[in-house]
Amino acid sequence: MKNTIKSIFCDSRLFLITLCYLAISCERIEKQDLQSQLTQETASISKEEIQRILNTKANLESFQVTDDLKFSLPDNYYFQTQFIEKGEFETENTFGKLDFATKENYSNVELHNALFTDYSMYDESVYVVKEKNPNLITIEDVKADYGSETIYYEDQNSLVFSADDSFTTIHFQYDAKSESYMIYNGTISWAKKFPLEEKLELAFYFLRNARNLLNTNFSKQEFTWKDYVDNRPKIEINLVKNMFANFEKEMSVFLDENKSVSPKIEDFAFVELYRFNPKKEAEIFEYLNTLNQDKIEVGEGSKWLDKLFYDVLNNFYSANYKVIPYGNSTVVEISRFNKEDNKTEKQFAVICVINKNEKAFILKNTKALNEKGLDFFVKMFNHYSNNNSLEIPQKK
Amino acid sequence: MKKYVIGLRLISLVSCNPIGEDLAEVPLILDEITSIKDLELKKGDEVVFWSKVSTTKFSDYKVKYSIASENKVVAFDSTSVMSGEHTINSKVSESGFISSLFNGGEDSSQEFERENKSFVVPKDGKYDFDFKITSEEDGSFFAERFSFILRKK
Repeated sequence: MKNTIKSIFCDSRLFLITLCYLAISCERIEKQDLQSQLTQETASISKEEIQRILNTKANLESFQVTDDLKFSLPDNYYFQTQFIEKGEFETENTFGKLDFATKENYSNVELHNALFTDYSMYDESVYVVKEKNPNLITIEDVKADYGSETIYYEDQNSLVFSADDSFTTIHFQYDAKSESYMIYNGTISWAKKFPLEEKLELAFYFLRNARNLLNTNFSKQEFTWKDYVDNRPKIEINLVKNMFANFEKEMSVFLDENKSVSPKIEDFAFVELYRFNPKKEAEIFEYLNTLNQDKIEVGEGSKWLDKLFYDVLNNFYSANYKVIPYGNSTVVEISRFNKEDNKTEKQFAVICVINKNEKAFILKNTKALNEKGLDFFVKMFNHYSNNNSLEIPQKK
Repeated sequence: MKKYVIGLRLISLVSCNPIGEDLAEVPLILDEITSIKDLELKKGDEVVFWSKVSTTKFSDYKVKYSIASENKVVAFDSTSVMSGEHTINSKVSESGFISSLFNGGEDSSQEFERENKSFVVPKDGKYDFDFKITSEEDGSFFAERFSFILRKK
């Protein structure tokens, strides 16, 4: 009997020790699980920050978007207008008390940021609808339409809200001259996996763009890289910074000669870093000179350069090239006369040679840029080659 | 009692850390640098890289790595995902649809972990580990997944 009690005691003690031991050895893992549960993200923005964004500089340009209406858009934007006739769309489309189905026709102006060729991060569009009554739409009616989850901002004709990690900005204005409503909608989808803070910040750049649509009081000024960083949405600037983030490690340690890297987002790449033999640097400038004199068609020069520049230069058949040095970068302007449209199309390549620790690299774009995206890339490449970083150096 | 303690040690080792303490796992992505940052380590710690492989082809790929502390590279070397002798957690998983469609009838992929390189920490501090896997051929991994698990011996 005594023995049995002793053995039970011993067993339960053993059991306890076992439990303690397991608890201690597994504690670290449990902690990690708890941590991951707690990091539910939410976004917030201060009034000062909203004001800062609404006051950011945008180089506006005036565009005739419909027969009787001009929009002022940032100079890196282009647009596409679609005219919609009555009955063309069966689906119900109303905005407050404005019923699109009763109109003979209306326009939808899609706005596109030309910065990232092919990559669409968000959608912005403006409906232009004829309407005699300038007091038809109220923000209360609009709010009722959208039934949003979280409202971050509202005024008499604007609403910024989020639902399911999608962020949307609505803004309407009445243009008495053309007797039309302009209804702006800017949205970044939940499917775009960016930090919510950056998406929210972007929504206020949407509001800035929307408020500027009928602004006629603007002047143009040249942007430095710092101006771009200070006046463009963080989501765009951080995206390019992320693309460049590993270039320093690539240059100092990882990248082999004759190899390149081009970081991607959702399968799109914008920049490429290529490492070449420093002895071949003269070949690059010879190649560019030959291009400039239109002596050869691309394809007859140095093979490695043909291959490297194929994506930015060879998409044009029988083109003219103009080579323009700009700071540390070289811009190649590729122009080609398009018979169908009877106009000359222009596209651009930006090439920047970087020498670092006796190694040599070429930084270039991966797809020919249009005129509206060019300056951003030139300033970005020049800043990078001067500072080894896209960050703005702190003043001492 | 002594043998109980040894038994207990065994139980806890089996239940949580059979081959040393897991520090971190980092996926290897073709032509990209992937990193583990700010790993707090003590002088004399031995950090072992285990390659975790899921493959049907058993092709080998080169991996360059660099270890830095306080923004200074303290070790830079290369290895390959398949190198090493000591293999654990080996299992065969059926993936019939994908592989029979593209890999000429092979109907299973193999998963395992293999002891690769190791690094002895020279002094106390925070360490960053960067890895980059490259392939001589163009293209991407198909039905292959690689990662490195860092374990402290």
